[in-house]
Amino acid sequence: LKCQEYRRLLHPYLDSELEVTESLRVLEHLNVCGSCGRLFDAEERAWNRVRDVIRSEVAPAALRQEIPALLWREDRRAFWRRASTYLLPLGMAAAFLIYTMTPSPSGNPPGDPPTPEARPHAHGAAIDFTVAHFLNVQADAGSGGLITDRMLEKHAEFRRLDAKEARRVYRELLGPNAAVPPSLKCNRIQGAVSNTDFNGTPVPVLLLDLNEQEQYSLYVLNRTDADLSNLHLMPGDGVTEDLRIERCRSCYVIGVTKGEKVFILVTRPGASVDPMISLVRRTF
Amino acid sequence: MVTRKKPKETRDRFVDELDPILDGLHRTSIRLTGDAGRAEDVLQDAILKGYRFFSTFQEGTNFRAWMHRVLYTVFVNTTRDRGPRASALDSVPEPEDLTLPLAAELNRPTHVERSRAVMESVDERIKQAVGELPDELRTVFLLSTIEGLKYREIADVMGCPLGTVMSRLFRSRRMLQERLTDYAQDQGFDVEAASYGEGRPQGENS
Repeated sequence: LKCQEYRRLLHPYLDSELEVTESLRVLEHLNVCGSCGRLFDAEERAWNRVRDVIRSEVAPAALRQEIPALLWREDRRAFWRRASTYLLPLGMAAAFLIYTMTPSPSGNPPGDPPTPEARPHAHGAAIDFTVAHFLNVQADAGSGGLITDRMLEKHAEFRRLDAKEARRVYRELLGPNAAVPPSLKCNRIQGAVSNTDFNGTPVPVLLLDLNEQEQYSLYVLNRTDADLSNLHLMPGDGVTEDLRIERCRSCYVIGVTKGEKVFILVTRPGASVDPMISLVRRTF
Repeated sequence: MVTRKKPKETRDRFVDELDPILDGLHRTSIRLTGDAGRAEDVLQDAILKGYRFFSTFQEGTNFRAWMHRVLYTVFVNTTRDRGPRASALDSVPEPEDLTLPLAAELNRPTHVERSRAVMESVDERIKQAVGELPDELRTVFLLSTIEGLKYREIADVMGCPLGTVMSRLFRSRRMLQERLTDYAQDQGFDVEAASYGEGRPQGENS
């Protein structure tokens, strides 16, 4: 190579970017060529000088000391960012549940949607008790969760019925010929809710599974304990001479009157009562 | 199984990696922004961003290059927000005021003081000349000559081809050399202009 071509390699050589073999060839040339040797030396010294001048500047000590604290604050911010992603919705859900679980002065679940009518939204103490019980159980089950014995027991006194007794109560409630339809499982007759509002009369509670996803709670009251006229329910579908189905236009409760029995069905807050009405029509 | 390291452990590791390169990052930030206050803001943002994405840094690779890439990205993003900085060399007026302090310093009585004054003046001129380079040339020059990054790493930092890096480096050095040679000659130093040869590296047409 000629000197001119070696000089093209000046910067890559000084920057250690050449292959080993190329570097060796440059070195060999610099050993024999005084002109190129001086040029390369001068260049190296010049750029080293520039490097030293710029490198003499160091980061402020305060910045160096501040870095651990800076990173710690970033960790804390990241924690709250993550927390807000997961905990905020949970917190809001918990606040909503606490709000809905807290009885209002009127005795009405305060989480209900506003009633279209001006009258207060209340179904009476007996019904409200069953509704409150169901809401408590639902809160334990969570959205889409299934109700378990433990949840039912937690919010009321229970007397467990075995399967045979459960069938007997079911037929007593729905008629001697009532049979559990294949599509409608009577999950279990769990027992009875004790409440002084019912004059100490145990209230049978049935859990009805409409399907895998929907689960309703059926509370059976005596007519004397629950006057549907006090329920602020509106005539619904399926009203016949011996079966009255009434629905609350504002919430998730329907009342069914059959003979001397009053059935209160409750579904999840916000769920439509229409499948429940269909269920009642098929069942009764 | 993916495991999340404890924050304290990660923090300590990041600080250990950052400490030896902090001066370089600070220098680069100062030279990129041309403003000490903004340089610190950009550097802090880069440190936080680097820390946030530290899990993506591959151990065994060059942390200095990785952090410079983060710094450059932050700088480019903030510059875009603020509007372009004047980068053309011709648009920067020649600083006349440097010669006046230099002349004053040369009037100091002792030889040692005079020498120091000259050297300090030269140092300032070097810093100023580097600062006056157009943005892209200055960045390549800083990353290569000052911070010692490889050409390939610089290409990665700036997101440009390798040939462009080589070309910009060549141009930045030539520009600096011309500026500093002019200055040295103005100051009466005996300067022998070096010759690079006529060719220019391949890779950039301009």
